[in-house]
Amino acid sequence: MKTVTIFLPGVFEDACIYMGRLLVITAEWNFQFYNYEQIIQKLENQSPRSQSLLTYLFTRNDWLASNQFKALAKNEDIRNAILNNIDELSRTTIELNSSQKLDPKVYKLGIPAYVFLDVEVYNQRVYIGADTGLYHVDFNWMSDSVEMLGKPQKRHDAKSISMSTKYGSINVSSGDEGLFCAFDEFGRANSNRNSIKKIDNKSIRTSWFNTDLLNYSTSTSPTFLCGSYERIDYSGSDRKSNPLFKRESNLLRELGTEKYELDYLFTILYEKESIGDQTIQYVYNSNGTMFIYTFEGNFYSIGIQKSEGERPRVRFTKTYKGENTRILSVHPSKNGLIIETNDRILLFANDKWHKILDSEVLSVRTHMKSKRYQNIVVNTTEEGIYITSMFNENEWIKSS
Amino acid sequence: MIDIITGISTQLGIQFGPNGTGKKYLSYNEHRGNGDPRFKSKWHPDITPLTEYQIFCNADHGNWYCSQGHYWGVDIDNNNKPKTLGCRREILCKFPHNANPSIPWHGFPVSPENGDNDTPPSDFIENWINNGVVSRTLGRKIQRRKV
Repeated sequence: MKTVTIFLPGVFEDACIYMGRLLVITAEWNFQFYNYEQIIQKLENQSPRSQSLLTYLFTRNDWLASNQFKALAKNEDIRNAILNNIDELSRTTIELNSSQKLDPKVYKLGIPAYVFLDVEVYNQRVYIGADTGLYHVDFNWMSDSVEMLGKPQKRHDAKSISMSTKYGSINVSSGDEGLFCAFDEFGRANSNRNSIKKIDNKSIRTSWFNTDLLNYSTSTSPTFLCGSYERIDYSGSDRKSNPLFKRESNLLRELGTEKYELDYLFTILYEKESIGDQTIQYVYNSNGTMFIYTFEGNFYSIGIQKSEGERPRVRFTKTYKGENTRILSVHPSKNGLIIETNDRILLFANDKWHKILDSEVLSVRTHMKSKRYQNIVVNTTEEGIYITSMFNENEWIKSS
Repeated sequence: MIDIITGISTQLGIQFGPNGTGKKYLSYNEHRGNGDPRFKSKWHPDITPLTEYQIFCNADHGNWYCSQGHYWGVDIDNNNKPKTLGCRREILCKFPHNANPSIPWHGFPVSPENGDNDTPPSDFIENWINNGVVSRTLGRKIQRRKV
């Protein structure tokens, strides 16, 4: 795995990439929109040897995954030239020359909060989870400078520690105040919009498990919440009004129709691996699999199967070599799991650990749902923003 | 006034103080391995009862209390990193509000990922960041319940 990193210095809190823009949250909790593709263009102009390669790595990850790019690996000369160039780029952190001026569009949000706890962009709408509640604000991303459409709207009074979005809904974790869900956020089924329903009594984060949701009341206690859906027909005029609007065919209508606390699934680890229930430090899930990390640095996965009306059961378990560290958060990416520890950002891919950044961070953002930025991790530190592209050279060579 | 640092052994633990502001402190045995691990958080063996008391005194002298009257503690090392305070790698501790001066204060390691009671309020953490007690990065990790 090769990683190439760009650094943008500044005093920021958070950053992510969306529709060709780098959305940056400043220390004053305002938004700055940078033209991300322009930044990459400037970097390419700065170092001619990286021409077009930075585009592949940072703005067109869909091209990297294309058959056309895979075909290039068949030619040994081209393959070696690309690999050598990426290898060279990976040796240093790339910075814009100080003479290069970036001119971001700035929006003062005026949200009364001490801290933004989480930010999520979904369907062109920006959700802000703050200590004073949940807010959203809409933007016209198709205008040249990204135009804010109205003021931020407060949606929910409880503190909003973290959020997850999909199937037209947003889930908001509000600590001891509970887990809340807003269904049909974009009025697909013409249902009662803007209402938020309490789903569970306690939540610090949630993560989708195929079409169901896992709610974490603590970092080690997941509860399985079944979702029920309505199929949506998009043959209407919606597409014409905004061609970039995300069209998900399943619309979440209810959560928690079946509910299971999943602690029992760990019993298999207690028996097979002789670990105690007090040694589990962090639990995370992707679709179909749970990952369990222990204080001793052991790392396990449990594959889970769920049939309708039955509680989830273990399909398989697997043990990996861990890292002696404490896990703070886990983020999915196309290349593997991006893992935030106390002092580093790591990638866990194909049973191996790779270093992404040797620093503690303010925030980590991956872009799993994106077509163009799926290999990108954006880490915000007190010094600035590190944008890292991950390139799996072995997979590329193998696929040719 | 100087903090009295000699501890007296009692049935419940080791009692210290009074400190410079007149507060007595009890390092409870039940937070040191004698309690049920499912319910009582435990101090890390490296944190002696005296260190525990000194963390309390730092919190007291720094006025590190929130609007509910709880004191919160952290111990930052020379590299500006938080020391591990608890057996489950907690880096924060809480000294619950005590309105009765005849009863000694006590404290225990907490982890914000366990719930609201174990999390200092956001405005309190902002003060910690602004006063240089914790870095902005550590402050955000606490507010976002990652530690």
